[in-house]
Amino acid sequence: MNVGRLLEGALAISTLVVGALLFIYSPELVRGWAFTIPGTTDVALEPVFFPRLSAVLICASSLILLITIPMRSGSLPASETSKEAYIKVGAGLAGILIYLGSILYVGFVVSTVLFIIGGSRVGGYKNWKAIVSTALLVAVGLRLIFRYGLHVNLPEGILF
Amino acid sequence: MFEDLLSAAFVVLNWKTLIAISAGTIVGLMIGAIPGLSATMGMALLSPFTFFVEPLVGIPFLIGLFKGGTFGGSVSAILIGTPGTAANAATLLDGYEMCKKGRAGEAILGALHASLVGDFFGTIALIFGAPTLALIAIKFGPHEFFALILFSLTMICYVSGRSLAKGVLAATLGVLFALIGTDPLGGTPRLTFGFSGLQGGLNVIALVTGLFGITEVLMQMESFGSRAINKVVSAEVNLGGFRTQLKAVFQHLRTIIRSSLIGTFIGALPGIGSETSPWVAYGLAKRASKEPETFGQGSFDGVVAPEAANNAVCGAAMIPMLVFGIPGDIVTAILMSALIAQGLQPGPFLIAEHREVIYGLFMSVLFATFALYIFGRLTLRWWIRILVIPRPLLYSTIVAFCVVGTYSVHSSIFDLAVMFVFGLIGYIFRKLDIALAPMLLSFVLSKILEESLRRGLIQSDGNLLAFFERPITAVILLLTAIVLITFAVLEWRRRFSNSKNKMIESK
Repeated sequence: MNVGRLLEGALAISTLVVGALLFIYSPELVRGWAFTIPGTTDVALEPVFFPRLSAVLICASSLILLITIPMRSGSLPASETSKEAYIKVGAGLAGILIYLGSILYVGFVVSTVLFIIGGSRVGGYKNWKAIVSTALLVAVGLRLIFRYGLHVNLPEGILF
Repeated sequence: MFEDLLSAAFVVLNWKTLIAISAGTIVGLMIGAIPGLSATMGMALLSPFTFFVEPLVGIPFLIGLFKGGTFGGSVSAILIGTPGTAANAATLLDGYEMCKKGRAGEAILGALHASLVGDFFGTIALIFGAPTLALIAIKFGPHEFFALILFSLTMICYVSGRSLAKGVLAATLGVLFALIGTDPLGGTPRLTFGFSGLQGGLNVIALVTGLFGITEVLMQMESFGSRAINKVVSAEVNLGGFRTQLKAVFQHLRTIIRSSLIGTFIGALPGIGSETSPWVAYGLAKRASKEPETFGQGSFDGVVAPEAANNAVCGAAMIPMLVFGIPGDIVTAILMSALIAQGLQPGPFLIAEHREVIYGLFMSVLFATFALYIFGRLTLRWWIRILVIPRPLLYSTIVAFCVVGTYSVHSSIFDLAVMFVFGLIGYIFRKLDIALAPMLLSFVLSKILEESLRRGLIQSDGNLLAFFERPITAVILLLTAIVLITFAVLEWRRRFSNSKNKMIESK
């Protein structure tokens, strides 16, 4: 069985487990001041009704997927993607995460300029003039549009 | 009704709305033309911008973007053999062949004329169909709504991907994510894990931006660093002339009108979306053609048929969204979110309660049709330049737009985290060939589905059979069951015969 099908199986098992946990722990996960009087309150009014129904559907669909995996032919994009490509995506994810974190502390404009410059260079584009001018235009432009046009403040952090 | 339309036309004929329609159309044309971007992504990125302006400026902008993006996708389909959106995949078959023969300009202009006609049909269906259907929808109760939403979700699960089982799994996960927040009937918090930030539920814009913005960026990152990424098309594509004589369009008018009607009908069905109609139109055009063997080799009919159909869907798909609150695809789901953000709750009473605004929207849709033709015609020669934007620069910029769009809704950092997580989920789903539309649409529809089911059960004292005692509900539920069983059996047979063939080959 190839990597793609193994991942499919892992996803099906994970969602099966999530569905089962949701079903079992629904009463704890659905809290609040609503209450039910056993034997008198409509089942449909109970807060756990729909979560439990959803849990059953999740488990059922996960099982169906799991059962049908051996019958599937052809390869998935996951199997056809090279290790190098996954490394690039991993690096990209890390870059986006750092960008999101830095927005809070450094500020939107500076973080965005650095992200666009870094992302373009790491992505293989080498025209510095185009990169820097686009980065400045986008970062400053968006800040001005949101601040003065739409009256929304973007994070400023310690810089700008 | 005609008085309403006339007064709405005067309301819309102000510089703000007209600029919004024009800007939306131009932006949509650009976004649709760039492979890897789509009208969906454009709507996801730019819809938060519309929350801060009046409804008759923000929504017409999105409508222009929708229409422009749908046509814009045909440009990259014709010029470089890569459809800008899934709705343009059928156009590629003959459009790209025409481009190889030096007739790219003729194909693009033919697509534009077909889009104009298709768009017009869809718009007329919307203007006259929506108010009429609303009169019927007012009589719908929770049982009918539950049945209709279930039917829509079933269609979405099947139509959106290659596997019904995966589509259903994605839809159930969408329901799971929609559980987070508060109980719609009791108001009790659920699945918030004590975190107050989750009490309002997950932000749909964060979800959409993550699933369609960040996911696409991650997919494109796989090929970053290679030479091919920096230029998509050679500067030497031969556009040929841009002179498609109107006579040529009239010669193919029957195909265009038939395809427009197909697109309008399919678009008006809740849950079907814009990806099916172009293929149906293409198939019927081929069957009706006197020269079916030319299809796939550069047939003009093969270009105009899918383009008329996919643009007809634009107006028609808004009918179930406005009247029932059931979006047919991701784009109308985003449009619906934008309407709700403006205080316009889609449903049977929307037109009656907000007559002036809704008729204003109808006229905006009509004006956007003409804007598409005018700006599409004026900007035809710019397409080559747009296609050579370097990918790393483009996608880094898109991430910035995703961040800004998501953050601006509630000024919440938590929403950015949600966007990031769903970007990752979307990437995993794409790698496992699981469609994203079922998850998003079930997320959007889940609250109404739950409310309808629970209210229906409460009204009938918990009796499930009451759903089958109401004729409309019974018919729709029966149809849903037939569709589900038929699709499941067909898929099972297909897989079984594939496994059998594999076994025979291995022997």
